[in-house]
Amino acid sequence: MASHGVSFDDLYRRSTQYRLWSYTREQLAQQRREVNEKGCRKVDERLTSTPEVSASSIEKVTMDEEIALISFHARSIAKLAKFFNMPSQVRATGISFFRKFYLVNSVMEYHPKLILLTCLFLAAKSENFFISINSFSKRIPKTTPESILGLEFEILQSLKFTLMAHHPFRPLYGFFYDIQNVLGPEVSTKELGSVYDAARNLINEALISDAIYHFTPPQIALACFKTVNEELTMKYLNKKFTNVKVEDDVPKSTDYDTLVSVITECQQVIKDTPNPTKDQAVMIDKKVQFCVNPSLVLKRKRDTNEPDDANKRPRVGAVEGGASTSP
Amino acid sequence: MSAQSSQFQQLEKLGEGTYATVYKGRNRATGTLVALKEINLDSEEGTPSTAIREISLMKDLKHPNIINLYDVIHTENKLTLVFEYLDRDLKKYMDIHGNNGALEPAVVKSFMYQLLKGIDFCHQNRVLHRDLKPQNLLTNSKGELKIGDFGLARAFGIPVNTFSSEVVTLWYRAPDVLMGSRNYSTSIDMWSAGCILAEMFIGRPLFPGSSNEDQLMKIFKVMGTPNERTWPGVSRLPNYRPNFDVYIPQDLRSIIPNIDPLALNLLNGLLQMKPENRISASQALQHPWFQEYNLQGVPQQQPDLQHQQQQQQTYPQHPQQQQQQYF
Repeated sequence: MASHGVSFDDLYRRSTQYRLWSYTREQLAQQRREVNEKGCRKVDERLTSTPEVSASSIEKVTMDEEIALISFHARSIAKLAKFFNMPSQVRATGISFFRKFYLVNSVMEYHPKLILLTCLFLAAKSENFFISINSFSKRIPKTTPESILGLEFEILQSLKFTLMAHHPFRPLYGFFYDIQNVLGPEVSTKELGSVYDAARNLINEALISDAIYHFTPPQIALACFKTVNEELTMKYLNKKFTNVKVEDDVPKSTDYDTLVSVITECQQVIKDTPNPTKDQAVMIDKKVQFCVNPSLVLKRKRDTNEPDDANKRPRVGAVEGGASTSP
Repeated sequence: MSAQSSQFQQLEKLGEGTYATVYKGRNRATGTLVALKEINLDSEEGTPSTAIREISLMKDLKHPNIINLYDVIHTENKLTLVFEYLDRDLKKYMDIHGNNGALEPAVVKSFMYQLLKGIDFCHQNRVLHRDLKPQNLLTNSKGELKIGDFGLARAFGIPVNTFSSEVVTLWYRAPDVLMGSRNYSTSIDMWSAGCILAEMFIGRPLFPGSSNEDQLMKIFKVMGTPNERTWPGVSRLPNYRPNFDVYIPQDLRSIIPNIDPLALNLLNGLLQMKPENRISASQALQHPWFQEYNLQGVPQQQPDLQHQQQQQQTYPQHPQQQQQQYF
């Protein structure tokens, strides 16, 4: 009767997260290239309709700059979610919506500062965490309910209406219990507790990495455990897989060596998460502003006598500032 | 990529859902019939969170016994979910095809098996439907049955102790929920499935209560009034009263005279008062009543009489059944 059951891996493979939003590295790079090219074409279109702006005065955003800016703003979502005391599930889903949106659209089409707010608000709805649009908008400077709600459908459509998000938190919790079960007295609850807490923190980093596109949530959870305490994790995996005692939830064909190499690879991907400084982000952000609205260049020319950088900064960084340092 | 509303011709109104109006529609290009669920976007909160969650669940729940969500269309002030169309709901099917509403045992068995398949899939995917009733089950001339209306459904995680108790149409609501339990889980849908099974046999609702209190009394009159001995912990439920009228359990055969013993056994497994004792959807699918559906691909199991006797003999040892001693 046990064979009647469907494994959790089978279930995951049926999910839209796996079917629509998992990529190999090559596919992911290709996708981002295409999105960046689409964004550049959009800027060209805008330049055609504003002939008074010379094309050479607008600098387009590169693919790497897009990646950096998106990862910077993904962190802004995390901060904003903490500011609103939202559960981690909402925070993670908001980040996931935001990053998926930019696998379909370029920052040169939609400015991330607006998109990130709507993504978080949609994530709250999707994860059943109630917050009214008024109380949400009121606490974020320079927004209105309309400016946030107005983007809902654009985002839903870009997400292909697939909103179910599976995060590594639950598998991490499952492993936390299974490690106790498998290692028994070999690990103290206190030690395991602190490993768990550190691994849970690392998941927040993993959510901003490309690991979510290449690996399953349990693989990411194990990678986080292994990064925090390799010895403990290996001891657990060893005992779990090399002992003859194979349990129902572990497919017999699972190759221990393959698993270890997969999670080691996953650790590296998490480690490689771009983490641009605020200054870098502000610079890219400024390029985006001109790409989205080329006629700003004319304004800059008119203001040319003023020393521009210092004065412009608060404005360019407004929402990101709002996200991290709201009242 | 998304469909246009002009793609569909709106036909007659099919009904009012929990938060939307449903129309029959026809794809102008292909002639295919669809169900169009129109959701008003007049709400100050933008897209209603019920719609967001229904979209989220339906996009990930792709199964032959669950209504398929084809597309989502956005127009000025409404959102339209385009669903697979089936001729009629189970309630109407019983009115038309039943003998005073009661269906042939073979039809009951086929519908019940399909219902359980759909529920099992929801539960595997960690989704509770919470509002199963004949009006939400759709059938067609091919004899297919599919679960629809996920407006009240929600994903469940661990722990499952924070759900509101204001769900499930009264008649199909489980006694633990009626008594105010808030930490219900998949067993809530299994009780509803039991009520629907009985209703298909008798042609009318099993427990047509008119209020919360009346609903409980209708259940107690048949299933017996629970006490600490039959249901440890029942007296701690918020709406439990020590002075409930005391009824002794009736034999369900007095209500469903012609039910065959195997179907009765399944029904008893579903209509367990104590939620932990209710059988799960995956267990129910393995029930000997469904033997003919479960034989495919198991060549050594011939449906001869001898084997059937064997099945019946071994059945009482099924672990779940051991808990049903007080029947």
